[in-house]
Amino acid sequence: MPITSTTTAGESSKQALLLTELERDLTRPQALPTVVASALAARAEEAAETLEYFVANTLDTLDDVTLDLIFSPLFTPTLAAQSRYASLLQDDVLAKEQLQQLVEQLTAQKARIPCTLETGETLLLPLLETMVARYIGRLHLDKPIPAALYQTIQRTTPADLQGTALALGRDSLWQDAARCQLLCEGLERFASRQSYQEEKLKALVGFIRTYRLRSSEQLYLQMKSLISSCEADMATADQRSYFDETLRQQYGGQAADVKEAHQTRAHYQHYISLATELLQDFSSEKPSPVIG
Amino acid sequence: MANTPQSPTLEQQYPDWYDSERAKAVVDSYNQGSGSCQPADEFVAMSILPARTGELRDFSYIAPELPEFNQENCVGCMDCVTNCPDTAILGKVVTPDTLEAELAKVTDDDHRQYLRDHFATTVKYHGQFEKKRAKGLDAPEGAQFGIFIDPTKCKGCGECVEVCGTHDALKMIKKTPENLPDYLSAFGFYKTLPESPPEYISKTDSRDIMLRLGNLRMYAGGAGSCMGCGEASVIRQVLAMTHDKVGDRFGIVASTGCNTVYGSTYPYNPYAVPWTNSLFENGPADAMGIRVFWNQNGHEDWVLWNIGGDGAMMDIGFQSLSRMLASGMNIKVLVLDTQVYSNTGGQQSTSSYTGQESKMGAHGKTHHGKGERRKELGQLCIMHPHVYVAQTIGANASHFYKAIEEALSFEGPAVVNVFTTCQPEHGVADNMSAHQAKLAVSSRAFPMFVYDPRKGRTLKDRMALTGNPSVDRDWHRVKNEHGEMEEINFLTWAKTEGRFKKHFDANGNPLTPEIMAAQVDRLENWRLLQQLAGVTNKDFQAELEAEALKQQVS
Repeated sequence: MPITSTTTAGESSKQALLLTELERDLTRPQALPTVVASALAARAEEAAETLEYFVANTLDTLDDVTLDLIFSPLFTPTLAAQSRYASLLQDDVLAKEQLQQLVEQLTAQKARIPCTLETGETLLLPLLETMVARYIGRLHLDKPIPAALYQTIQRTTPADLQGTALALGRDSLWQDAARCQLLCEGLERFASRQSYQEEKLKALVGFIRTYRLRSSEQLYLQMKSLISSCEADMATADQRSYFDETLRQQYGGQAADVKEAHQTRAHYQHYISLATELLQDFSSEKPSPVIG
Repeated sequence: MANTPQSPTLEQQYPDWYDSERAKAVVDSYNQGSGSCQPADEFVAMSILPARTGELRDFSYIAPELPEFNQENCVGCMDCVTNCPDTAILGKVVTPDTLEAELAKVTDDDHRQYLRDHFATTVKYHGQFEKKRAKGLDAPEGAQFGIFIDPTKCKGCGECVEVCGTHDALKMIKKTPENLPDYLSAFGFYKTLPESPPEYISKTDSRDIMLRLGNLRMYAGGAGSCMGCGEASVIRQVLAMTHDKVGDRFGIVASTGCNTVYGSTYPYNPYAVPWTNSLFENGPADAMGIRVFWNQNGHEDWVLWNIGGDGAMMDIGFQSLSRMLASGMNIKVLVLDTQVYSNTGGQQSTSSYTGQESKMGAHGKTHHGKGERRKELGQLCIMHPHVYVAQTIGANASHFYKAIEEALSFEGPAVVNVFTTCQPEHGVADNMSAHQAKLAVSSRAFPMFVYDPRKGRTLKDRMALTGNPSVDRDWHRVKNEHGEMEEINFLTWAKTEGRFKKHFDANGNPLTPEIMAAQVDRLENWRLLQQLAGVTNKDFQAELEAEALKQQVS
């Protein structure tokens, strides 16, 4: 349900909680990823300034595009972060204006984030609007979770995975009724077979998205096809790709090879394991949904 | 920009005399495995490969996995497009009206949504324009940025996913008979879209040049290069930037090497630009002849590139290169430095590092890889009069493209030496070209530099080490996972590559004097570059002072 401008006391306190959580989240000390640090160092070098001076005095003069290109890795929330906010919101939704309000409130604080460089130095990074907007926008606070999916998650999902399931549920993919139903069916089956795992949940969501599945029949066929494709690739994992048979005869099977065959096999085995487990779940007798 | 013209088809790009039907017939026969049954034709008789026939090659049977785009996380940096060796991942900017009009032609709701999901709303192509409009400034409306995969060109190396990195907007997914048609269909949709409108293409971020179709189409893909080939992506970048600067007015002399083999395996030609293959030893001499001919015919402004590997430019054709540089002729040289004869099976070259294992430099009981030190082509070229020299990597797009732009604008010979990963001969994974090149720079295995005679009269003025980390130190230092400071030195990089594997024990500790000698060699090379650039090395300074003090005391 949307949190509107005429909010109840409970909803207001939820917004306050959101703000507090975001403040804490966005200003926590962070290790600056190499890619961000390198981009910053290059900009400072261009401006002929020391990194410290550049961050303190010049950074906030850069345009939004540059800031977004440099800092996006730091302000793209992980699924774990999305899960925390999804747990907090449950099935509530924020309006666009409320998101904008959050961005403005957080930017107005002119906070600084202690960031550690890989060289061990610490910088105080200004928290700018572009950074906040990117982070908040990708938390999906404005994306509704279908009621049927919300109820299914509540009913079927272990407490420690509720946040993850709710976060994954805030995706426009589930606005398609057939896909939503397929996910719900999967969750019901996980629960009834007591086989609920985070990795399998993510795999099911991923497979539905990637292979554009809309029914358990499609899922069944696709998993079979996936397994056979993986098995075929595993059988040739220790052979390099040659585009010409003469080349293969001349050079095949020698030299330090590209990917280690065992890594390739392990990679495909992982696909097979997930697909097999899903096949088992979806092959079992369909559980009747619990009402209420 | 609804009036922007549609992308020209392959046929529309050919001149009238060009028998495109015959070219297609030949390529189709090779695609179907019946190439040897073809009758002799004019192309073969003249040793000509029709231009851009690589576009017709279908590699969709090769890639076990394909990249999947997560539009939400995309920032539009274009790194994936830039670093793809096969022109298999493409970007497009589309205005909302155009996009909606094109999507409206798709009748199936689900498929329409699938296509829509290929577009990202980014700050770069959308947010900044909308912000300007909100402030009442004159700006076009925010546009959508699309990423599309050509599954007939993608070999599944995963380089795009690696360079996307922590942006997390791409991941590899398993290709199956069921999802391949989706990729083909989405790429078909990409081809119906008009050119990216010029007002959205960044004037400051050179990675955007591959949004211009003319630049992008200079290298069609379909070449027989290995998965993730570091050379091919660099060639694509050079062609794109050259076309961006001079249009079609350029040509290539390719010295024999891996680039000529994967780039001219009949009937597949990835190039849309005039290209000729010379021998290992005389590419620069061949280029001099063409330069003279062009100049005599009033084409002084046409750009001529000579492309070759380290085998051609440092070993077999070094004299020819030196002769050309001494001539002062306006010829640009791109060296694809893989530190090995990649094409002929991996023999060592003078560019190979000390201790590197290769054919003719095997690692055995007595000899531990190459015994000699690496020849530094960049430094040798600097010592020729009035030559622009850059040593760079394609993965550092801003440094690389700037070097290419400067080389193009330089009146006289220019040499751009580029570290290029060769997966089978370096013993690294298919997706590691950019990663290994960056590590080669930060470990001083392959420092970047630019020597531009236009910048002043002293070596110090002309030489720049911009882009190398910790430029005034011996080695770059970073904090490791235990919170301790750790040097990124030559050994750090060497232990990540199969060609040095036998120099290290299972824990990564160096075992041989040769690999330690290689470390010293790289440090001495870096210190020499610092001296040429007038950079004071704090560590070297301290070392010299300690030695002086020790001498005084003794």
